[in-house]
Amino acid sequence: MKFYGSLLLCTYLVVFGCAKPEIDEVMLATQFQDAQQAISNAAELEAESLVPEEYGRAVKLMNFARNSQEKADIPQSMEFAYQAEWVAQIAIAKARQHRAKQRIVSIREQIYQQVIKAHEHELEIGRIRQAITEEQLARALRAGDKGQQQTEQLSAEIADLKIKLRQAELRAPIAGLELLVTITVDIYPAIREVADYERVQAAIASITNLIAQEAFSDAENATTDARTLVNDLYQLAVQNREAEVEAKTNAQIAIAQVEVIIQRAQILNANQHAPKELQEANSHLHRAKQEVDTHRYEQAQRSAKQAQQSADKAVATAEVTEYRQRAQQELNTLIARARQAVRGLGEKIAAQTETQVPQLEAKLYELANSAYEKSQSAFAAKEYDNAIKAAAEGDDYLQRAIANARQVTSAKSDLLLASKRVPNAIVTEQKESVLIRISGNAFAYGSIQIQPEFIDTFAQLAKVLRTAGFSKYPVRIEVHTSSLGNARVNKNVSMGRADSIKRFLTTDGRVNAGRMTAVGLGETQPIVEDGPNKEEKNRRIDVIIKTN
Amino acid sequence: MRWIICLITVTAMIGIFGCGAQLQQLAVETMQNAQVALSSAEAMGAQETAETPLSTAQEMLVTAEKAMNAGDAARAYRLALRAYLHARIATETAIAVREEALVQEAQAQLALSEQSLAEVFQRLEAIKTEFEALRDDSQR
Repeated sequence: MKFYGSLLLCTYLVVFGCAKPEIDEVMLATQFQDAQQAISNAAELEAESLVPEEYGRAVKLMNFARNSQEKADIPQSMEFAYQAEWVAQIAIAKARQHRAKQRIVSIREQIYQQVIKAHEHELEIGRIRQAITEEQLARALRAGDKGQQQTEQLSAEIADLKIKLRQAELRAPIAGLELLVTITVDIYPAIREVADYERVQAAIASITNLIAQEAFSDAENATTDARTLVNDLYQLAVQNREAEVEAKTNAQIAIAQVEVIIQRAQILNANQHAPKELQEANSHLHRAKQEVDTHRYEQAQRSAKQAQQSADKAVATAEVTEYRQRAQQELNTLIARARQAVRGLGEKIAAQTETQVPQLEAKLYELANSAYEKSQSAFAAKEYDNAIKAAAEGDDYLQRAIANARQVTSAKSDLLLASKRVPNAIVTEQKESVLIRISGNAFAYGSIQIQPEFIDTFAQLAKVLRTAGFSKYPVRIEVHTSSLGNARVNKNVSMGRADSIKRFLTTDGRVNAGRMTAVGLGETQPIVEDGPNKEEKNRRIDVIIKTN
Repeated sequence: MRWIICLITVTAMIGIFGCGAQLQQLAVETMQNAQVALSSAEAMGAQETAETPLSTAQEMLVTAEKAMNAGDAARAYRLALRAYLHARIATETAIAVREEALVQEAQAQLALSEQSLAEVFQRLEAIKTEFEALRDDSQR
């Protein structure tokens, strides 16, 4: 029955010990609200179209949370709701990124439009200026007071203005194209290394040249071609920029990953165990970082991968060596602890040899000795855990023996002191007991009635026997007679007297009868064989209180 | 009967502790992923721009490690997953803040461009007025 009970308890602890904590319905409802709010915020930022993957995942997790709630799995529902909220927050952040990127493109387009408009205004200004000059010429002609020279000069000025105006007209789109190229370079500086960029620059230079040479028709045609080239270059830059951001992020993540592995290698003391691999890893990592700084992200990723390979090797090597060393250290510590425990127990046992502990608490002392031997054997057999356990066990026995012995000794001292207050008695400490010897005529000749003058003696004795510290010690009452008279009669008298004393102690003295033994020994055990007062000395009552 | 109960108990325990080993591996991997995500967030400058999710992720990872050391793989996994998600929030927020700063710069450039367009427009209006005056004068 006990067996099944233990088995049931074990199963219960294993199964319900791992049970999930209870979650309040109110907490779950709050978390649902938070998660739903995060998803709504993401929707407001158009996350559904901008980052469909994250947004969809958040919605899916929210549905999982609802399903779990319906199945009454509240902890799981809570967990899904948490995850839904956090994934929605990721979607929000990513949607913000997309919107910012779109906004940048839109602003740049606005700037481009404004620059084009400014150029158009400049052209308008040029045209009006030309008209003003023509008006001034017409006035001069009308006035007729100006000479031919002035007329020719003004005509030349008009012709010159016409050319300049045409040049300005053609330069305006070129300026726009140049601005778009500048924006393109801003978006993706490395575009300057692309052949298309060179072609665009050459085309712009050629158009500028044509305009300067007043080959306006050719310049116009070349401008149309150049516009296509610049637009293509701009699209390429946008694509490359996006790819670069992704490559940069990937490179940074790869570097971060390597840093984690290197950190782990360092914790495992790879500096000592695999210095070459660790150095290699650090060197590749350093190079990867430099490559990121110089925008060479693909190379950075490759270097980070090499660094990771070296770091992995360093970790593997260091792990084996380090764990081996740590295991050895732990073993050494265990051996030292076991040695200390066994030696310590031996010393403690030896220290108690000369004390009263082995006699007073022989059983516990023996158990301590046995545990000591067991711990020595275990140590010799290299079973260090067992040696420590056995030594601890032995120490426990020894401490209990010492404590018990101390208690007994202390109780015995108290008993001796208390017993000395009993009138007409001589108290003697014996090995495992205290002897209270009552001499004198406690009984009249041939009588078994206690003499009135000894009533106080036995009353005091009863008081001692009832005292809390020793109220459970066994008591033996021995009554001895002198050798005067018949031995058989003496024996019977002594037995009657012993019973009489026991009865008094039980009835008047309220001492538990069960702990007392009363014996009458007659004249069989004299303490004095010869000499004066021999009979008086042998006639005695011995109350022996067993202390152990 | 006794042996049948024994068998059921032992099978249940093997099941539980067998799953435990797999869970432990999963917890370790998730903790590593969270650590990488944290490093990425730091590389993106999340200390300045996404401090709250970053510190939450760091605290959760520390707690996950403690749970792992205490032998509670299930709790370690749950915490590591949370740490990973918070680190991702920190990373994406840091990138978003960076992009939004670029928007500010572009807006400043737009303002300058608007100012220069207004100046050109003023000059155009002035020359138009001059031209009108000249024509009026000629008609008279």
